[in-house]
Amino acid sequence: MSVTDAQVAALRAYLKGDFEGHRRLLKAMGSREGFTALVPATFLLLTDRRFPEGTPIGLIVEFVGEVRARYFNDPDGLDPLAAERLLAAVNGDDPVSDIGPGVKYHTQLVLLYPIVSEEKLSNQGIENLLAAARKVADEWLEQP
Amino acid sequence: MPKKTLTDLEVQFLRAHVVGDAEAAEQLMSQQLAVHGEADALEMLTWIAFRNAVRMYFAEIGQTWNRGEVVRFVSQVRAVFCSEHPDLIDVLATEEQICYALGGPEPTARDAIAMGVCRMVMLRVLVELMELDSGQITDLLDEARSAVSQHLAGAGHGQEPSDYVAGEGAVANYPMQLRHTTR
Repeated sequence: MSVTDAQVAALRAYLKGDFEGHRRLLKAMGSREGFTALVPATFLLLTDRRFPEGTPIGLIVEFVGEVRARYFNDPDGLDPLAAERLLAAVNGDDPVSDIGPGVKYHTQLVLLYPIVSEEKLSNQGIENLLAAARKVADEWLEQP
Repeated sequence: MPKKTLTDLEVQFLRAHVVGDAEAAEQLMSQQLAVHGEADALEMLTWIAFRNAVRMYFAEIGQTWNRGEVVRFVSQVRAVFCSEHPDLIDVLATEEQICYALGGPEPTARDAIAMGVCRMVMLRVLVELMELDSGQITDLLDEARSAVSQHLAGAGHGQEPSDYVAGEGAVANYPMQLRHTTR
Protein backbone atom coordinates (compact mmCIF):
# COMPACT_ATOMS: atom_id res chain seq x y z
CA MET A 1 0.00 0.00 0.00
CA SER A 2 1.29 3.42 -0.89
CA VAL A 3 -0.06 6.89 -1.56
CA THR A 4 -1.55 7.14 -5.06
CA ASP A 5 -1.26 9.97 -7.57
CA ALA A 6 -5.01 10.52 -7.23
CA GLN A 7 -4.65 10.98 -3.48
CA VAL A 8 -1.86 13.49 -3.97
CA ALA A 9 -4.01 15.28 -6.55
CA ALA A 10 -6.91 15.47 -4.06
CA LEU A 11 -4.69 17.03 -1.42
CA ARG A 12 -3.08 19.35 -3.97
CA ALA A 13 -6.51 20.66 -4.92
CA TYR A 14 -7.32 21.26 -1.25
CA LEU A 15 -4.05 23.06 -0.53
CA LYS A 16 -4.64 25.31 -3.52
CA GLY A 17 -8.11 26.18 -2.29
CA ASP A 18 -9.92 24.23 -5.00
CA PHE A 19 -12.37 22.71 -2.54
CA GLU A 20 -14.84 21.62 -5.21
CA GLY A 21 -12.09 19.78 -7.08
CA HIS A 22 -10.87 18.32 -3.80
CA ARG A 23 -14.33 16.98 -2.98
CA ARG A 24 -14.73 15.53 -6.47
CA LEU A 25 -11.35 13.80 -6.34
CA LEU A 26 -12.01 12.55 -2.83
CA LYS A 27 -15.34 11.06 -3.91
CA ALA A 28 -13.74 9.25 -6.85
CA MET A 29 -10.84 8.03 -4.74
CA GLY A 30 -12.09 4.70 -3.43
CA SER A 31 -9.86 3.56 -0.57
CA ARG A 32 -8.60 6.51 1.44
CA GLU A 33 -5.95 4.72 3.41
CA GLY A 34 -3.10 6.46 1.62
CA PHE A 35 -4.85 9.81 1.88
CA THR A 36 -5.35 9.48 5.62
CA ALA A 37 -1.59 9.00 5.94
CA LEU A 38 -0.77 11.81 3.54
CA VAL A 39 -2.76 14.36 5.55
CA PRO A 40 -0.91 13.93 8.88
CA ALA A 41 2.43 13.62 7.07
CA THR A 42 1.80 16.97 5.34
CA PHE A 43 0.61 18.44 8.62
CA LEU A 44 3.81 17.42 10.43
CA LEU A 45 6.10 18.87 7.77
CA LEU A 46 4.15 22.07 7.37
CA THR A 47 3.69 22.66 11.08
CA ASP A 48 7.37 22.10 11.72
CA ARG A 49 8.11 24.93 9.32
CA ARG A 50 5.41 27.27 10.58
CA PHE A 51 5.92 26.60 14.30
CA PRO A 52 9.48 25.34 14.79
CA GLU A 53 10.72 23.97 18.08
CA GLY A 54 10.65 26.63 20.81
CA THR A 55 7.68 28.51 19.39
CA PRO A 56 5.79 30.10 22.32
CA ILE A 57 2.39 28.49 22.83
CA GLY A 58 0.84 31.97 22.71
CA LEU A 59 1.64 32.22 18.98
CA ILE A 60 -0.13 28.93 18.36
CA VAL A 61 -3.14 30.01 20.43
CA GLU A 62 -3.42 33.26 18.45
CA PHE A 63 -2.99 31.46 15.15
CA VAL A 64 -5.82 29.03 15.92
CA GLY A 65 -8.05 31.92 17.03
CA GLU A 66 -7.33 33.73 13.77
CA VAL A 67 -8.07 30.61 11.74
CA ARG A 68 -11.38 30.08 13.52
CA ALA A 69 -12.34 33.74 13.15
CA ARG A 70 -11.33 34.05 9.51
CA TYR A 71 -12.16 30.72 7.92
CA PHE A 72 -15.23 29.50 9.77
CA ASN A 73 -18.78 30.77 9.65
CA ASP A 74 -19.24 28.55 12.66
CA PRO A 75 -16.11 28.86 14.80
CA ASP A 76 -17.13 25.67 16.59
CA GLY A 77 -16.19 23.82 13.39
CA LEU A 78 -12.66 23.56 14.74
CA ASP A 79 -11.96 22.43 18.29
CA PRO A 80 -9.53 25.13 19.48
CA LEU A 81 -7.81 23.10 22.17
CA ALA A 82 -7.37 20.07 19.91
CA ALA A 83 -5.96 22.34 17.18
CA GLU A 84 -3.56 24.07 19.56
CA ARG A 85 -2.41 20.78 21.06
CA LEU A 86 -1.89 19.10 17.71
CA LEU A 87 0.15 22.05 16.42
CA ALA A 88 2.23 22.21 19.61
CA ALA A 89 2.68 18.43 19.66
CA VAL A 90 4.64 18.39 16.41
CA ASN A 91 7.72 19.68 18.22
CA GLY A 92 6.58 19.03 21.77
CA ASP A 93 6.07 16.27 24.28
CA ASP A 94 2.27 16.08 24.40
CA PRO A 95 1.39 12.61 23.10
CA VAL A 96 -2.17 13.85 22.33
CA SER A 97 -3.24 10.26 22.82
CA ASP A 98 -6.53 11.36 24.37
CA ILE A 99 -7.65 13.08 21.18
CA GLY A 100 -9.69 10.70 19.04
CA PRO A 101 -8.22 9.71 15.65
CA GLY A 102 -11.20 11.21 13.82
CA VAL A 103 -10.75 14.56 15.56
CA LYS A 104 -7.01 14.47 14.89
CA TYR A 105 -7.51 13.80 11.19
CA HIS A 106 -10.25 16.40 10.76
CA THR A 107 -8.32 19.04 12.70
CA GLN A 108 -5.10 18.44 10.80
CA LEU A 109 -6.85 18.56 7.43
CA VAL A 110 -8.70 21.74 8.34
CA LEU A 111 -5.50 23.46 9.48
CA LEU A 112 -3.51 22.61 6.36
CA TYR A 113 -5.18 25.15 4.11
CA PRO A 114 -4.78 28.17 6.44
CA ILE A 115 -1.13 27.33 7.04
CA VAL A 116 -0.39 26.95 3.33
CA SER A 117 -2.36 30.12 2.60
CA GLU A 118 -0.46 32.09 5.17
CA GLU A 119 2.88 30.76 3.92
CA LYS A 120 1.91 31.83 0.39
CA LEU A 121 3.50 28.70 -1.02
CA SER A 122 4.15 28.76 -4.75
CA ASN A 123 2.99 25.88 -6.96
CA GLN A 124 6.51 24.49 -6.78
CA GLY A 125 6.47 24.91 -3.01
CA ILE A 126 3.27 22.89 -2.80
CA GLU A 127 4.74 20.21 -5.10
CA ASN A 128 7.86 19.97 -2.93
CA LEU A 129 5.76 19.73 0.21
CA LEU A 130 3.54 17.03 -1.27
CA ALA A 131 6.54 15.02 -2.49
CA ALA A 132 8.15 15.12 0.95
CA ALA A 133 4.89 14.26 2.69
CA ARG A 134 4.21 11.41 0.29
CA LYS A 135 7.60 9.94 1.12
CA VAL A 136 6.84 10.08 4.86
CA ALA A 137 3.34 8.66 4.38
CA ASP A 138 4.65 5.83 2.19
CA GLU A 139 7.12 4.89 4.90
CA TRP A 140 4.31 4.77 7.46
CA LEU A 141 2.19 2.66 5.17
CA GLU A 142 5.03 0.20 4.58
CA GLN A 143 5.36 -0.45 8.30
CA PRO A 144 3.68 -3.68 9.39
CA MET B 1 -34.99 27.45 50.59
CA PRO B 2 -33.24 30.30 52.43
CA LYS B 3 -33.20 33.61 50.63
CA LYS B 4 -29.92 34.51 48.91
CA THR B 5 -28.15 37.55 50.30
CA LEU B 6 -25.20 39.46 48.97
CA THR B 7 -22.63 40.25 51.64
CA ASP B 8 -19.92 42.89 51.94
CA LEU B 9 -17.40 40.07 52.13
CA GLU B 10 -18.46 38.74 48.74
CA VAL B 11 -18.05 42.17 47.16
CA GLN B 12 -14.69 42.66 48.89
CA PHE B 13 -13.60 39.21 47.73
CA LEU B 14 -14.42 40.06 44.13
CA ARG B 15 -12.58 43.35 44.40
CA ALA B 16 -9.49 41.63 45.82
CA HIS B 17 -9.63 39.10 42.99
CA VAL B 18 -10.03 41.81 40.34
CA VAL B 19 -7.00 43.74 41.58
CA GLY B 20 -4.96 40.56 41.79
CA ASP B 21 -4.63 40.37 45.58
CA ALA B 22 -4.92 36.61 45.86
CA GLU B 23 -4.00 36.51 49.54
CA ALA B 24 -6.69 38.98 50.54
CA ALA B 25 -9.19 37.19 48.30
CA GLU B 26 -8.47 33.91 50.01
CA GLN B 27 -8.84 35.44 53.48
CA LEU B 28 -12.10 37.16 52.54
CA MET B 29 -13.55 33.95 51.13
CA SER B 30 -12.56 32.07 54.29
CA GLN B 31 -14.31 34.73 56.36
CA GLN B 32 -17.36 34.61 54.16
CA LEU B 33 -17.62 30.86 54.52
CA ALA B 34 -16.95 30.98 58.25
CA VAL B 35 -19.65 33.59 58.84
CA HIS B 36 -22.27 32.70 56.24
CA GLY B 37 -21.44 29.11 55.36
CA GLU B 38 -21.67 29.81 51.63
CA ALA B 39 -21.20 32.51 49.00
CA ASP B 40 -24.32 31.99 46.98
CA ALA B 41 -24.69 35.50 45.55
CA LEU B 42 -21.11 35.67 44.33
CA GLU B 43 -21.82 33.90 41.05
CA MET B 44 -24.52 36.42 40.13
CA LEU B 45 -22.38 39.35 41.27
CA THR B 46 -19.51 38.08 39.13
CA TRP B 47 -21.77 37.59 36.10
CA ILE B 48 -23.11 41.15 36.25
CA ALA B 49 -19.68 42.70 36.82
CA PHE B 50 -18.29 40.55 33.97
CA ARG B 51 -21.19 41.45 31.65
CA ASN B 52 -20.79 45.16 32.34
CA ALA B 53 -17.02 44.99 31.92
CA VAL B 54 -17.40 43.19 28.57
CA ARG B 55 -19.79 45.89 27.34
CA MET B 56 -17.46 48.64 28.56
CA TYR B 57 -14.48 47.08 26.84
CA PHE B 58 -16.13 46.59 23.48
CA ALA B 59 -17.61 50.10 23.65
CA GLU B 60 -14.21 51.50 24.58
CA ILE B 61 -12.43 49.97 21.62
CA GLY B 62 -15.32 51.04 19.40
CA GLN B 63 -15.63 47.59 17.96
CA THR B 64 -18.84 46.21 16.58
CA TRP B 65 -18.82 42.69 17.78
CA ASN B 66 -19.41 39.45 15.97
CA ARG B 67 -18.46 35.91 16.88
CA GLY B 68 -15.24 36.14 14.87
CA GLU B 69 -14.08 39.22 16.76
CA VAL B 70 -14.88 37.52 20.05
CA VAL B 71 -12.95 34.41 18.96
CA ARG B 72 -9.95 36.61 18.10
CA PHE B 73 -10.23 38.51 21.37
CA VAL B 74 -10.36 35.36 23.52
CA SER B 75 -7.41 33.82 21.68
CA GLN B 76 -5.36 37.01 22.15
CA VAL B 77 -6.24 37.08 25.85
CA ARG B 78 -5.30 33.42 26.25
CA ALA B 79 -2.06 33.99 24.34
CA VAL B 80 -1.02 36.86 26.60
CA PHE B 81 -2.58 36.12 29.97
CA CYS B 82 -2.89 32.35 30.01
CA SER B 83 0.10 31.28 27.91
CA GLU B 84 1.40 29.06 30.70
CA HIS B 85 -1.97 27.37 31.02
CA PRO B 86 -3.94 27.83 27.80
CA ASP B 87 -6.62 25.50 29.12
CA LEU B 88 -7.19 27.66 32.22
CA ILE B 89 -10.39 28.95 30.72
CA ASP B 90 -12.84 26.96 28.63
CA VAL B 91 -12.47 28.63 25.23
CA LEU B 92 -15.94 27.99 23.87
CA ALA B 93 -17.65 28.80 27.17
CA THR B 94 -15.75 32.08 27.37
CA GLU B 95 -16.59 33.02 23.80
CA GLU B 96 -20.25 32.19 24.31
CA GLN B 97 -20.48 34.18 27.51
CA ILE B 98 -18.84 37.23 25.99
CA CYS B 99 -21.23 37.04 23.02
CA TYR B 100 -24.12 36.69 25.43
CA ALA B 101 -22.97 39.67 27.47
CA LEU B 102 -22.95 41.65 24.22
CA GLY B 103 -26.50 40.62 23.39
CA GLY B 104 -25.83 37.37 21.54
CA PRO B 105 -27.57 34.04 21.92
CA GLU B 106 -27.94 32.32 25.26
CA PRO B 107 -24.90 30.16 25.97
CA THR B 108 -24.99 26.40 25.80
CA ALA B 109 -25.39 24.81 29.21
CA ARG B 110 -21.91 24.14 30.51
CA ASP B 111 -20.14 23.08 33.63
CA ALA B 112 -20.77 25.63 36.41
CA ILE B 113 -17.16 25.62 37.56
CA ALA B 114 -15.83 26.23 34.03
CA MET B 115 -18.26 29.10 33.57
CA GLY B 116 -17.36 30.59 36.95
CA VAL B 117 -13.65 30.36 36.24
CA CYS B 118 -13.93 32.03 32.87
CA ARG B 119 -16.03 34.88 34.25
CA MET B 120 -13.59 35.46 37.10
CA VAL B 121 -10.52 35.27 34.88
CA MET B 122 -12.01 37.43 32.14
CA LEU B 123 -13.27 40.02 34.61
CA ARG B 124 -9.78 40.49 35.93
CA VAL B 125 -8.29 40.56 32.43
CA LEU B 126 -10.83 43.14 31.25
CA VAL B 127 -10.14 45.40 34.22
CA GLU B 128 -6.44 45.17 33.43
CA LEU B 129 -6.93 45.76 29.70
CA MET B 130 -9.08 48.83 30.36
CA GLU B 131 -6.62 50.01 33.02
CA LEU B 132 -9.47 50.79 35.39
CA ASP B 133 -8.36 52.77 38.42
CA SER B 134 -9.55 52.16 41.95
CA GLY B 135 -12.54 54.48 41.59
CA GLN B 136 -13.63 52.89 38.34
CA ILE B 137 -13.37 49.43 39.87
CA THR B 138 -15.51 50.65 42.75
CA ASP B 139 -18.09 51.97 40.26
CA LEU B 140 -18.10 48.67 38.36
CA LEU B 141 -18.61 46.63 41.52
CA ASP B 142 -21.13 49.07 43.02
CA GLU B 143 -23.23 48.86 39.89
CA ALA B 144 -23.10 45.07 39.93
CA ARG B 145 -23.87 45.00 43.64
CA SER B 146 -26.83 47.28 43.18
CA ALA B 147 -28.22 45.11 40.36
CA VAL B 148 -27.80 41.93 42.39
CA SER B 149 -29.35 43.49 45.50
CA GLN B 150 -32.35 44.70 43.50
CA HIS B 151 -32.93 41.25 42.09
CA LEU B 152 -32.49 39.53 45.41
CA ALA B 153 -34.89 41.98 47.07
CA GLY B 154 -37.38 41.69 44.20
CA ALA B 155 -40.79 40.10 44.28
CA GLY B 156 -39.38 36.81 43.09
CA HIS B 157 -37.21 36.41 46.22
CA GLY B 158 -34.12 35.11 44.60
CA GLN B 159 -35.35 35.63 41.06
CA GLU B 160 -32.30 36.09 38.91
CA PRO B 161 -31.47 38.79 36.37
CA SER B 162 -33.05 37.97 33.04
CA ASP B 163 -29.71 37.35 31.36
CA TYR B 164 -28.14 35.40 34.19
CA VAL B 165 -27.26 31.85 33.27
CA ALA B 166 -26.08 29.47 35.95
CA GLY B 167 -23.93 26.53 34.98
CA GLU B 168 -25.05 22.87 34.81
CA GLY B 169 -23.75 20.81 36.67
CA ALA B 170 -11.73 4.98 11.67
CA VAL B 171 -8.70 6.80 11.08
CA ALA B 172 -5.28 5.26 11.66
CA ASN B 173 -3.27 6.64 14.54
CA TYR B 174 -0.23 8.17 12.85
CA PRO B 175 2.66 9.75 14.77
CA MET B 176 1.90 13.15 16.22
CA GLN B 177 5.48 14.18 16.87
CA LEU B 178 7.83 15.04 14.09
CA ARG B 179 10.75 13.34 15.78
CA HIS B 180 8.89 10.03 15.63
CA THR B 181 9.01 9.99 11.88
CA THR B 182 11.61 10.18 9.16
CA ARG B 183 12.43 13.62 7.81
